[in-house]
Amino acid sequence: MALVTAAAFLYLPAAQGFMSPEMARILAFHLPNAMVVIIAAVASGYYAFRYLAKGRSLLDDARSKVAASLATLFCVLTTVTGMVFAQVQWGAAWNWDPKQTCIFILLLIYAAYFVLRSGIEDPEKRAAVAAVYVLFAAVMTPMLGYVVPKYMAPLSLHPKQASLSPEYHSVVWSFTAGLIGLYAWLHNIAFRQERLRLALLTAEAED
Amino acid sequence: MSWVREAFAVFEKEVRSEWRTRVALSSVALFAVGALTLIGLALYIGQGPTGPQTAAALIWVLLFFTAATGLGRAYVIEEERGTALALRLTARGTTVWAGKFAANALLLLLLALMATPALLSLLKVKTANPALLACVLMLGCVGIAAVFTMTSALVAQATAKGGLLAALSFPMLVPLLVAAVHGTNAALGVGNAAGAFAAGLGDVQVLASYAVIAITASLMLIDFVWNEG
Repeated sequence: MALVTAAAFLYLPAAQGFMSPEMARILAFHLPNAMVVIIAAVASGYYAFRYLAKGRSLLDDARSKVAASLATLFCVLTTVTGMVFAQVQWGAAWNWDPKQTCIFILLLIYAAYFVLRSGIEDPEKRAAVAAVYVLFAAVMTPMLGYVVPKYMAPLSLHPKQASLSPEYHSVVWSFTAGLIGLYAWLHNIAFRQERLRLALLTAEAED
Repeated sequence: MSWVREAFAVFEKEVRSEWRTRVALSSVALFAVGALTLIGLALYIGQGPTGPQTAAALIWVLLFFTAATGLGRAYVIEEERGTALALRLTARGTTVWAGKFAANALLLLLLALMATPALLSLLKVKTANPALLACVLMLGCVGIAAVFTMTSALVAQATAKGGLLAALSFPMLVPLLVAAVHGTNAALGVGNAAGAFAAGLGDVQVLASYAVIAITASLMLIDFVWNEG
């Protein structure tokens, strides 16, 4: 991770074709973060589905919650790096670009998800309600992908085909691999913490 | 009992128990009157010219927040009254959802029917295509009612109910609200001076598919929450 971070500053050439070629290096952080958000969101939905469909194990609920919290974290990182870059590249930190809109709504959904969780005391009830919310959101939000480009900005400011030098490809992809590793590591730690908390609660209940 | 008859029985029960107290109806109506007064006063003080775009935006902001005050009660009230268990014993989760959704949609449609002409005349905005406006309002209200009925079932299980409902529903309603505002603009003649229905046809299609998706997803998921309580 440290190697790739250093490479982003030292090895990457300034990307031509951007407003500020020097600043374009932030791409090496922005793109991988966005990819990890998608992975975390899918993981959170998958475990929510598994909780409801298979066995109602509170461990699956814990996995779903951990994935959701990491999705929120990487969502914030993607938004912040994106806003910094947008300020330089497009002249304003916020442009209601389709991708900006979508990621902001994703943030709102996760924020509401955690408020909903904190409002329910019973762990099993909380798990079921939270899982249903995640799945309901997973069904309703893909419409954004159709509606937002149709109405808000027909042409995305995000480039479809970026002409980046091969150095970018190697750095972006190795950083993505590193971030996925970081995500798996954080997921594992947070999940084990949740598992211990669950074990503690059941032990207390038995006493 | 067949599924449809059971759902209709729940709908009838919803309407009848609402008619006894008229709490949701009167709170929604008073909220709408308050909001309309505020809009009228604020725009009167501002004295700026208000175009159809402002009207289209305000209609949907008004409908969204009025729905958030009134439609959340659907499931919450069963938990408060302690009647959830009795309902759970006599009806399936999907029929309860369908009945409550129908009652909510009716309430919201009534509100739209009264508030929209009031707002349009308040802002002195002319409607270019009333049929398109009616279609957009109807489908939009059905979609909003479906999402709010579903989130109401989730919120009924939580402790802080008031603000949570709007927070849960808003991100999911964004596609609907965007399409609805666009369609309302077309119906009010923005970029569509001739008032052609075709200008808003795409929006009507988006709203209809949104409503279908919201209803299907709710019917598939509601049992998991309903059997939890």
